[in-house]
Amino acid sequence: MNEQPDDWRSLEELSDTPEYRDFVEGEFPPTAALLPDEGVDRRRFLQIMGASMALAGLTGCRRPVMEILPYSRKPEEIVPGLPTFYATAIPRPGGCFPILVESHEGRPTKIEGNPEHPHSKGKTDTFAQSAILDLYDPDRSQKVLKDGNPSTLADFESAAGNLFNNLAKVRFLIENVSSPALRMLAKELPEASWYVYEPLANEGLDEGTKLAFGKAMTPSYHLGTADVIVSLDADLLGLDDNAVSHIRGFASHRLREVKRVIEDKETKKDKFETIFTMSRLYVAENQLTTTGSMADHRLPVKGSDVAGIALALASAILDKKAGGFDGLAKEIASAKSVPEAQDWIKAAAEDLLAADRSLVVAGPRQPAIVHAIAAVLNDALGNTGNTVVWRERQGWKDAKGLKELASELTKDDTLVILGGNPAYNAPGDIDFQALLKKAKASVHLSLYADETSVHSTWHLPMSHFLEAWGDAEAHDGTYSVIQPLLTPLYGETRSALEFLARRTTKYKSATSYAIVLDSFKLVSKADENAFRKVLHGGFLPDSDSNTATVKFNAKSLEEKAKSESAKKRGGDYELSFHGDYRVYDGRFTNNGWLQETPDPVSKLVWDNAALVAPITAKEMGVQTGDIIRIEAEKRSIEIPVFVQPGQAKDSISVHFGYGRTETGRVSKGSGFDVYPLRMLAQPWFIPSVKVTATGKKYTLASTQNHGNMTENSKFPSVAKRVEELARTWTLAQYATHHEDGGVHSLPLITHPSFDGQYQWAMTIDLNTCVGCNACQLACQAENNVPIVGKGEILRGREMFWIRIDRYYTGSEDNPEVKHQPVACVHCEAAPCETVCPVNAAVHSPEGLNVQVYNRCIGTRYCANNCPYKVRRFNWFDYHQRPLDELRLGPLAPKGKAETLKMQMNPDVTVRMRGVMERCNYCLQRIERAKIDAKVQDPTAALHPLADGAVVPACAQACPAGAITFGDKKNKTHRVNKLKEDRRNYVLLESVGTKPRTSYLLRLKNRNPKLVPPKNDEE
Amino acid sequence: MALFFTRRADVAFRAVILSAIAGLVITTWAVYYYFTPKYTRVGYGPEQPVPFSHAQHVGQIGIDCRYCHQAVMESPHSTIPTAETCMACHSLIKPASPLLAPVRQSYETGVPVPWKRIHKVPDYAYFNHSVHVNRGVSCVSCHGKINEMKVVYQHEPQSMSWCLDCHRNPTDRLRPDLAAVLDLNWGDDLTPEKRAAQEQTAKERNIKPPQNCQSCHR
Repeated sequence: MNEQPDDWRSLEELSDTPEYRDFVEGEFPPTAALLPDEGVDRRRFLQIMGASMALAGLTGCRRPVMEILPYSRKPEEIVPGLPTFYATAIPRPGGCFPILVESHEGRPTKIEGNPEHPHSKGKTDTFAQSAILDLYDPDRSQKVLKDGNPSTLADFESAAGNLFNNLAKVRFLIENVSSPALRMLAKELPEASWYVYEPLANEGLDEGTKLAFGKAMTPSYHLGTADVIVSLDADLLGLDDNAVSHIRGFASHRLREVKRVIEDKETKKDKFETIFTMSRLYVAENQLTTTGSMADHRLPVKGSDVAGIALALASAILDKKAGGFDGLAKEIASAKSVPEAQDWIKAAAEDLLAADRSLVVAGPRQPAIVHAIAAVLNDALGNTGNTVVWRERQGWKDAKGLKELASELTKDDTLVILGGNPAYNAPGDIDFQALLKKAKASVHLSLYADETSVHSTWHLPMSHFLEAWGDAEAHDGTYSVIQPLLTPLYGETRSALEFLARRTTKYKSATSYAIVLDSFKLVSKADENAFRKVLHGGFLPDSDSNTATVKFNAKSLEEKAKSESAKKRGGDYELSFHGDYRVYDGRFTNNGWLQETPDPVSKLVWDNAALVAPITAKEMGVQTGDIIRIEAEKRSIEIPVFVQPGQAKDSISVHFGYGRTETGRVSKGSGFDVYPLRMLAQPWFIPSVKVTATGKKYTLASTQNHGNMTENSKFPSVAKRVEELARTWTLAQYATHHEDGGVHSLPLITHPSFDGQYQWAMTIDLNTCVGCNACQLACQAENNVPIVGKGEILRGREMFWIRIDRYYTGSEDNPEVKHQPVACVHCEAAPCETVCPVNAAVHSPEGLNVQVYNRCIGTRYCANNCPYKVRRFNWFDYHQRPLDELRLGPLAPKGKAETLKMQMNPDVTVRMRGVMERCNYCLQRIERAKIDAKVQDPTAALHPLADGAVVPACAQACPAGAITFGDKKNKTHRVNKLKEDRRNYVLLESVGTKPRTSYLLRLKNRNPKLVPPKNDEE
Repeated sequence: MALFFTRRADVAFRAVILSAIAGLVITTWAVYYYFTPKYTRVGYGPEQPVPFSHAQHVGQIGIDCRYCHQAVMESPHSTIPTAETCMACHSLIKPASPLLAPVRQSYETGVPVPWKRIHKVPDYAYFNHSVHVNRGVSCVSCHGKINEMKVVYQHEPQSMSWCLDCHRNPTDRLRPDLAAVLDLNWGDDLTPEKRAAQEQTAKERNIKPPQNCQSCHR
């Protein structure tokens, strides 16, 4: 290992700037330097301390009288102290997400995937994990508002008669939720007009399939069976509606052992030969996404160039394998292609043609032609019905869009907005506030009193999906019932279903249960008993919509392709819009967990930024943190720059969802609104924008340099000792190498004896980890991990028990990316334990490195001595005090919203200020499994736990199945098999800590024609 | 050079210092010894909203513990009975007793009876009833002779060192079967046969209570 690191995590590290040095060397700066911040001077500090001393007193001596309040009549299914799980689903654009909700005495605390549902198979993503926090958000709207003034539901109902007397004058604007019950109610209101708006809708797909097949269709992709996958700006493993099942499929084919029969040359007999296969992923995109980070060959190009690449790729393939598309092949032969993409296109085309099963996917941001071309290529390559299955489109088939609403709305109309926030997220060329003013009256039903609510005549608070009955269809049409887990927390809330029912005559006084039951009967033709079964399992089995055979509409396709191939490439700087990995389209802005989750690639928290390539930034003369003004069509926004390696040259990526004006306490002042630049006609790209530096600065918080494990690199001798942290091999190296590449050393200190019945251990597979953050949020929900706010993050004080380190390798223009989740690795010879003066960091006989909170006095020696930087210190009472007043100490108002307390997992201690904490392998789950085994069979001497009896929250959530946990002593546990794999290595092995968590290195399936193998490979 | 202080002052000074040290030691020892759960908690028996007598219900009538404390075999908590449980008998027995008014009221309104909590381990300690009872630890070990208490009070200190006393030496507290676990008088006359049964239970069930932090603190 030379001194210049092969892997780097930020441009500051690569160029070794003084700021970077300061940060990594001062990870634990002297506390004195931290105090004068935010207006606390010495005098104030002494006052505060004096006050708290005076208050301390002897109040702790008397024992408070506590009460135990038993149920008056116990609900049948609840046993106090044991969690119950209910199956339900999260309604989402693009199909509902099936979940199981853990509930403690009627208090939902955690969301898991529904293990029986074909979509999630028990796995979750960040949005599913964090949905529980939205339920308890104290900033949720709780009051009816009329023209911004508090009102009541009764007042609204008395006014409603007038608003809804002529249904022909009522226009409903809804979100794209596929709910049969909602459709059933809409049929009861036939005179009303319906409009759908979803800022991140996949309109390109609808139009593309109309172009190709004559009607809108929805594809399901099977990544697990594809040998070659080409993504044309499709974030399959990231923001895609179906990302969870895509990640599962993708992970299943990243390393497969295949036995095949060959003839032995000497004996002339058949014998088995083992070969290893894995899929190869090609990605063309402008912004480095999680999908791009997993690519074997990534091509950074402008988003508006992807269409040209699609045509060139189609031309190269149809040339060899026309598959009935001869006419189309002729039309696109002259397509203007993208010169810098030639090699990539050639290699991808050859691979696609050679593969048995392949897959071409067009991204939702791409225009219709790209989607049509992808459908054509899949058909020509024989993938239709195999890796891609077409279904009739679900949801609102004949609803109109925002554009029609804007032109059709008259001043006599009542505009009803059910969910959504169009006044904030409508494109800039639609003045939605004016529309709200124009209508006779407007009614907005939403979770938060947001930008739309304040400009509407009426705002009605909406129930969370965990508070109301409903139903929904998954992406493939599988029917789910949404059942409430608790009565609405805030009295006057209503669901969209309940709101609509009141407007109909048939369901005017029906309960929402009865409405959903009716809807179920319509869908399934079954009775209430079947409904109860569906409630238990969460979904109606085999209710996915039929797969459809497709027929191509050659003529229109050829015409469109012809006009597309004549198009010229865009000009200078392209502005490209993206949904955000954290706040999606802005609907999750007030969710602190999501706000504090680092973006999977840029690692930005609490803000969005304009992502520009290093070379483009140089051209513009800007750096990270400089605010630029972006102008297009006479509108402009100001937004800070974040220099992002791997971003396409001349392409500026901005994320939706920030810069909200009417929002809760959590998201005040976070980020910059980019919707004003969006245009209805060009929703995703503006080919040419004017960019000027404003000279202003803004502090962006990114965690990319935090938790640095190579901080000693200024000492060359030590740097040499530190081996590669996130390792990569090529597939060829894997097939031939048989020894591990680790640096063996003696343990640093002697470790305690491990005489427990179980010896816990974990493996994390870097080959399948896509860096989606689901594990981190699952851990946050399970272990009562607090959020700390942007200011504390800037000081490197985030509290996540599991962080995901992202490493770049290679050039800053198109680096390869590796994701490495790092939690406490549970060293057998743990450096943290030897330095603790009060024995708070101790080892359990089962190999767990445990932290005893009530012993910890907060010396932080352990964190200093931890080579992995996984220990987290509670600098403040994050659970007790508002984030912006942490520093006032005891003078800040104490306590937190009662609703937020309800989310806490009762099996995990809520830590207070001054104690150290970190991953404990979900100790509470281990103990529960052990106790359950003993309670099941109390007279047995031994209680072996089956593989899978203990699953930590991170492993349970991981859609890739990258995290495996089990008993090292029990050879039937899968973790042992994985630890014997030659990909297995431990982090910082040379330090001699003997960690229980080991990693399986990343494999790359490079195309030798694009990257000639180096000497040490093969 | 003249003496600043008289000899007597010197002696007085020493005496003051010594007595200060002695006082400090005694105070520290007293706090250390008497401010423990053994002295601050044992005997705590608040007045309950309903003067329920365990002596009568368990000692005289012989109702099984699990009739009221239903979840004890499966849950971490040994649950306090619901008003419905009380009313199962008291809708027939003494249905109009004024002492039972809070129970009847709770049964009718759904508002819980506010029982006073007696036993309490700290929030960071996770005690589990089900595993103790199932594996053969009798109720009496932690709660004392409830069957003789008219008003329930805390009988044991339930401090960490007290927990560990048993975790280090569990055999004395074991019962060979469930009937013995629930029989609070089983241990009154520890015959050699009973001793042998205890030892055999410990051996057969491989009773090795954990003594590490992870088991109780999470």
